[in-house]
Amino acid sequence: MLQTFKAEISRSRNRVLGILDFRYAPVALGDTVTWLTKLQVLAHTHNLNDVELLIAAPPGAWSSAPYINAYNYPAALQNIFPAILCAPMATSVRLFTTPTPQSYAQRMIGAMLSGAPTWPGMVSHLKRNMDYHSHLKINEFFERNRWIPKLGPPKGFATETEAFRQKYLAGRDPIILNIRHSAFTDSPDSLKRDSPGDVWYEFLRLAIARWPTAYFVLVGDFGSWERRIALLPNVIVPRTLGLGLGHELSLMLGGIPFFGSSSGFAAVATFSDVPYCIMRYQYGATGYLKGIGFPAGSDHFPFASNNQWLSWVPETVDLLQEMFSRLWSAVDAPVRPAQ
Amino acid sequence: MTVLYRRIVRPALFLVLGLMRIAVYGIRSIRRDSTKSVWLAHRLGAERSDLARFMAKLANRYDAADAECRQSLEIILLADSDAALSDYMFIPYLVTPFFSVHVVYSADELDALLPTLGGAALAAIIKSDLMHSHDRIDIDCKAIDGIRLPALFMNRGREFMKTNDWKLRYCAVSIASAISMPNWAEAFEEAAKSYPGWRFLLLDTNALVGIDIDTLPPNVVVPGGSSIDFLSQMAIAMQADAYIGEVDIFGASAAMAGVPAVFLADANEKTAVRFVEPNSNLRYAAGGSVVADELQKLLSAQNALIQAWPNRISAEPAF
Repeated sequence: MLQTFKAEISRSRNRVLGILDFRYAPVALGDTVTWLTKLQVLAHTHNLNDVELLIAAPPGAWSSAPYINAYNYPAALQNIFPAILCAPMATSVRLFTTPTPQSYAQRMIGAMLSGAPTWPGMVSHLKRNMDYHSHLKINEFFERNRWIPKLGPPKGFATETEAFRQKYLAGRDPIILNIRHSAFTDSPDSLKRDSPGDVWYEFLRLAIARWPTAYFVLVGDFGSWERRIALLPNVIVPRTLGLGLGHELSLMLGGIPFFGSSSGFAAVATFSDVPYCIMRYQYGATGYLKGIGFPAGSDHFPFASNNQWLSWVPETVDLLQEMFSRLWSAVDAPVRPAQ
Repeated sequence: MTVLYRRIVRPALFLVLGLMRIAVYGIRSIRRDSTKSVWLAHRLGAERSDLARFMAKLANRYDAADAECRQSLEIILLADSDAALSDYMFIPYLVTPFFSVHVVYSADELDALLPTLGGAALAAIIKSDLMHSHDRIDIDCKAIDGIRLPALFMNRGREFMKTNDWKLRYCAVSIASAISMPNWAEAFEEAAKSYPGWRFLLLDTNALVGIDIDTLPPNVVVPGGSSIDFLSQMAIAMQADAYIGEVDIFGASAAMAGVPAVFLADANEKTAVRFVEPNSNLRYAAGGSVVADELQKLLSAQNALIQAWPNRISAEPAF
């Protein structure tokens, strides 16, 4: 036993440990990718190349999401898992569904004794208090280095994603589209952040004539899109073809521009190199701005490029056309940091 | 004196006792887990049937008795290919809700992990497992007990069939890649004429992009197109009235759950999994051209069983 502890401590010394304990951590796409980005920032800050992800998902109610219980937690885990694979620096992933197995306890003790950097920090983890949404660490890193580590396509989805691209997207100009409609799902949340369906429908209808080669790849929960939007000729829904979150992230982080509401997918775009325009940013959200670390109304994140924008006001058809037009013309333009 | 005892001595005693209890409990659980854990290591294969191989290895290694004793299950996955890691992570739910999966992306990372898990004997087991990761796994369905997904997925699978049309009979299908789509389409069209009360549920691990869904006859339903997830599709295979297709994760799920199945492969062919005791519920049929015949035979046998039910019931002695 002593030997294994010694080995654990020695292994802990040259890596960053990321802890995602779903007993208190949120089960949300945006929060997960923010956590991953902070981990990669932490690794670069300590000049380390390896990140180990430790996921705890024991049975039972998870306090951050009241709709998750002992019956449906495996589905919640299955749904979010592809997002966990988006960190290019991750060299290992460990999933624990037993509350406190030996290897989990040993890993935590190893990290503590070796003083390995962890996110969240050990004290925060033991207090079950994780800063999951702020960008403070990321902004600080950007201030010092003028770049941030980005997300990459999740492992294990490349073959099927490529087949989809070749069959459905060849010869077109794909745009990833996400329209937040939490009210349509089984677990509605922050409904003020939902987008108006009529406005988006009208925009997409007008886009058929104005941008005839644009092909909108509608991503997100199966329940969260409107049928009339999915039936438009310039819209395709990968989930109707058996694809899932992993493929959607693979498409997006593979370089397809993003256009849509402020949501988990928008957070993925935020920490990527893809051109994007996030509409309705933070509209109706409460308590988040403090941690974002830049003034309300700014049209880009501090670490954004010149083809990555935010819009803070509710969508109108004209605004959507204006912002999409901007995104469309920026797709092939040279990339430099945003001013 | 009383105040000193109440404010200082007693809390200090409780603290020491509490810490001792945590330490003793922790050491006990560490010793218990390290001596009694069931270990399984697997190197992810790029081919589609590798998931079935992993599932069969798991079912052979960890049985219902282990689950009953809350034996800890520890899995090592070496994911150095582009295999769908996400799917592998959730297969252990078939045998227990309590498990740990350690995924490493390279052999170097594995070498660093092994000394932290246990001694040389355990490392030897793990290395041997990894070395034989792509061997064919023999499985005896009669010896497998307790294969079941969490209730949510079983319910989703069953509800999918019920909401489609509860009265119908469902045959789960996993398209064997060796058989061309026109052959399958022809088989489904013939079945529509002979067996109109049956629907075919086309299962796929993920993408159905290789199949032109619009050209399939109306008796074919694609659960993946309604965003039915991977585990719920496995649950459909386990609860369907029949199965035909490849010896893959869905075929293995169906066979292990006792669903009458026809595998479109030669029993002697080097498939990822071989069922060592094919019984009346399980048959191999080789060759791409036989799919229509095999489907007819399977449905005919199932229909005969279904029609025999009322007679069987009436033959039973009344209470």
